[in-house]
Amino acid sequence: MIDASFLSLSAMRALEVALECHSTLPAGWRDDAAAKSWAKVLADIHVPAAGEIILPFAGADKNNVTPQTWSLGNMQQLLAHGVPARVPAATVRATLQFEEALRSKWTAAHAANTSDKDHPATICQGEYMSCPSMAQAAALMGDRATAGALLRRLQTNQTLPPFDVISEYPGEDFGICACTNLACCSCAMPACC
Amino acid sequence: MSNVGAFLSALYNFAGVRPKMGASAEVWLARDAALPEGWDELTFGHVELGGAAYRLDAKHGERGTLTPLP
Repeated sequence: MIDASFLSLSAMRALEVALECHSTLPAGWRDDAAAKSWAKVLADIHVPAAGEIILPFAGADKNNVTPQTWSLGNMQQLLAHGVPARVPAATVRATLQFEEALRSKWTAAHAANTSDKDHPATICQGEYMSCPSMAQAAALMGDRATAGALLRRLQTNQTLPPFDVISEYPGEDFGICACTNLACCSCAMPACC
Repeated sequence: MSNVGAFLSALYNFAGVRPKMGASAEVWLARDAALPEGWDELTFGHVELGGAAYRLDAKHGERGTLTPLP
């Protein structure tokens, strides 16, 4: 099994919320044995790290990083929902700073569509959903310019006129025909169905 | 939902909103707003926080304000 930090961090947050929910239940509805086991699982979850940098997966080498040995965005998508309490604020900041340096160097294909380097108009360069997460991380780190640039990129590359329908990937000239992207508008257009 | 959800989550985070179970809506405003360049203020005309409806105004660098809606 891969020891992936995104799965570990997400699971920790889910268990934290589950325990919060459980604590609000009235007497007679609680299952203290279950809650105790959830707390143990939460405490036992391992998050791969090297110093203050959370690694994308166990075995990743922060001193020898390439797009083939590192995946970006393991923590950014959690920011809106809260990082697990066990993760120190200094670790969050150090990891975001480390990954932002990578993101700014890598191409779109390797930076989940958030690269500053290029934007080839082909599909499968990265989904729409990655940019807002990177933008909020940048804003939290005080880099308002990058946050704004990422959002403008979405508007330019992945928002389709005349109704601002979202395309899943840059370069697509149609909205997705499923509930993922404002489906009602896109499905009203015969060409995309 | 994933793409729109990611954008909506980012908007809440820009405004400094952090959901917290069992807490009052004011507690949900966990930190000062941090907005992208070019954005001075972010307004949600109607948000549901902790089971009640509010208007949320968030200026960059300041704690957001909640106004209960009727």
